[in-house]
Amino acid sequence: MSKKNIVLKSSNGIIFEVEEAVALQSETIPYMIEDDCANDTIPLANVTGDILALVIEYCKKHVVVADGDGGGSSSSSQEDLKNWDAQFMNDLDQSKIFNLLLAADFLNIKTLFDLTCQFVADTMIKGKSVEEVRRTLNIEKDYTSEEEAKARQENEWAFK
Amino acid sequence: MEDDCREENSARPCVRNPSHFKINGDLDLISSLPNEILHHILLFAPTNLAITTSVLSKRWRRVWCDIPSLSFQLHKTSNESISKTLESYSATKITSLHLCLESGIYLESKRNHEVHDIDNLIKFAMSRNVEKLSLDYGISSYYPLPGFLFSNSSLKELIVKSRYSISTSLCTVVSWTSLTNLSLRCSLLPDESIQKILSGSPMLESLSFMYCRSLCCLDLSGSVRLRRLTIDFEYYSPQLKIVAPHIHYLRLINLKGKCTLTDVSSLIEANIDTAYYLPRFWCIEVNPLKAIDFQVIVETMLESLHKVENLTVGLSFLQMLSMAEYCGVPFPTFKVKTLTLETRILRSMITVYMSGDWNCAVEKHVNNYIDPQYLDSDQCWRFKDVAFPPSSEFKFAKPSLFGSFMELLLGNTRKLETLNERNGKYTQQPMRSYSSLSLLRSTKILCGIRFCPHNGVEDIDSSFLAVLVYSRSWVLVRRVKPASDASKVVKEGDVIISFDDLHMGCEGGVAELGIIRAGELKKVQVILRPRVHLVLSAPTS
Repeated sequence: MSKKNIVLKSSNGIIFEVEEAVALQSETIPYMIEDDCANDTIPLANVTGDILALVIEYCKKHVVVADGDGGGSSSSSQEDLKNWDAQFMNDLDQSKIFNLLLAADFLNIKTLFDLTCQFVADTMIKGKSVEEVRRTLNIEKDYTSEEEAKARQENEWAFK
Repeated sequence: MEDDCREENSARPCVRNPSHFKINGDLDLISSLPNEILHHILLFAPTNLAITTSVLSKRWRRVWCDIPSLSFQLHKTSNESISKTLESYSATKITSLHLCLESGIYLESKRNHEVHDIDNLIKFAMSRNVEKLSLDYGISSYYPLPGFLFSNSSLKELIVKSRYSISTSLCTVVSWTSLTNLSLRCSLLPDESIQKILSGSPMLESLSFMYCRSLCCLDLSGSVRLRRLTIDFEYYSPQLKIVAPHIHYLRLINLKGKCTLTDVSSLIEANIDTAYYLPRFWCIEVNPLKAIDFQVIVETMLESLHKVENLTVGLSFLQMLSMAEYCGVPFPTFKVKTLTLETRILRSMITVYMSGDWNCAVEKHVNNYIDPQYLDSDQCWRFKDVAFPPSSEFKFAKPSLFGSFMELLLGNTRKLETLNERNGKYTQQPMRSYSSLSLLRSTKILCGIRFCPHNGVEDIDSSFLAVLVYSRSWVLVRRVKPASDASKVVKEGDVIISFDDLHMGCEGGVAELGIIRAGELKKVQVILRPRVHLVLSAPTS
């Protein structure tokens, strides 16, 4: 088996060279290769270097398991992977999380997109009051009190 | 696609370019995400929570209205309000509707307006081409499935978890032209309903029944696309005949009666286990099935499963094999590539089984889910524990028995890939923590008595680098894998008496072990248990 490497270039010009299997977890990259975006280097104009580094870290971790045993990876490694994912997300600040989410969307890496979306839902929205969600996510309240009361009243049952 | 942002004057433009975001803790990053992404985030929350985001700000006012998936917990009072709320719901396509009936909502009468509210919810989802519908009934909850549900062309997945019967008597014909995945948990499912469902679902790929009391004949030969069949029993069904020539995967769990696999010629993978029977009861009339019936079941099962590549068996199946051996009736050999054993190691299972031969060609691995919690490792070990236990059959296996069993198992295993063990469902420890201590506990049991006439115990580290015999206050290195990294550090016959300056066998506490595994230096923590009644004798080196 020949191991082909793929060169990715971030928006701020940082070059990453990764194994093909790692990069191909993105469903966007194959199209870029087909389109022959550049001879060898694939420019990713809307992913910065620090975010791309995170994406690659994630893909590297997940590629090992994928080809471990023809898809039939053992339960312990699934468990490990879950823990790793949780740790990976926990170490990021909010700006990194949202940029990673966007990068996962753009590069079409489904598992990473789900992971980041679920993380946002679990840690920033679930179990919090409206006021707490606003504070956590820096959402500015642009309703007047009456408008907010009206919006609340429309679906009162949901707030119970 | 209409962009909701424009509806509200304060909405920010939807940007997809991450470079727009500066590293700034005070920035509202989430509100500038495009709606599709916000929907995806809110998919991970129940619908009522998603609806509450509408009061966050004007940007969020109508975000929830287009989430393609709905999930409701139905209380006694909220159903009407939900219907009202849905008037502002604007997604044209619903991928999934999940309804969870709270416990105690028993809606029998068709005239009940609450029934109509739920009917309307389902109708609403069906009008928007719902693909996945899941109905979860709480304890003593009931809601009669509406007749119109049985005729739908968009539904791909249907999950009904009820404790009452499901009947198709309300409709003359079932027509689920897109349905691939059907999962029913119910107590009664009349034969004619099954037949109607099967003939009305030509695309069915996966079928699952739970706790269906009434199953007796399952003819799936007409479902040519069906690949997976799962049946979990809770009730006693006297006999079940399965004709399923197209399935690749079969799971029969907690089987309580006679099951005949008439045609499973395409089967590749199977997971079979019967309900647990106490060996003593096998011989008396209390149980409707006598020992010989088990023998018949075993044999017919094995015959039908002879082509299976991946087989998972549990405690009872092993028990039955053991019983056959004990009675002197030979059971057929079967060849599998992968054998998975999912069992607690109970005494009654091992005692008989030990004398048998492992007739399977185990080529790949044994996943052994054992439950070391139940091994009474605190007791003194005895050699003569190989007969039927005189007292209760509930007693769990002694370490020595377990050791012999594992030896037998490993001795016939060509390549052991994973040996998992679980701490038991009753312990609070997270899955991760079953590393060191339980490994030590189970592996010391692993080779138990044979290598350790002086009541020492033997331990194999997980990568088989070194075999250690250890007792409470010392560890004897029995074998070191040549050329391994361990061989540079320890030699056979070495006696390890401390880790990290902590002496072995100290009462309680946690020791940190530095170990070399697979050439890597690792630190693991070992909890030193104070109470182990082993008689110590001098180590032989």
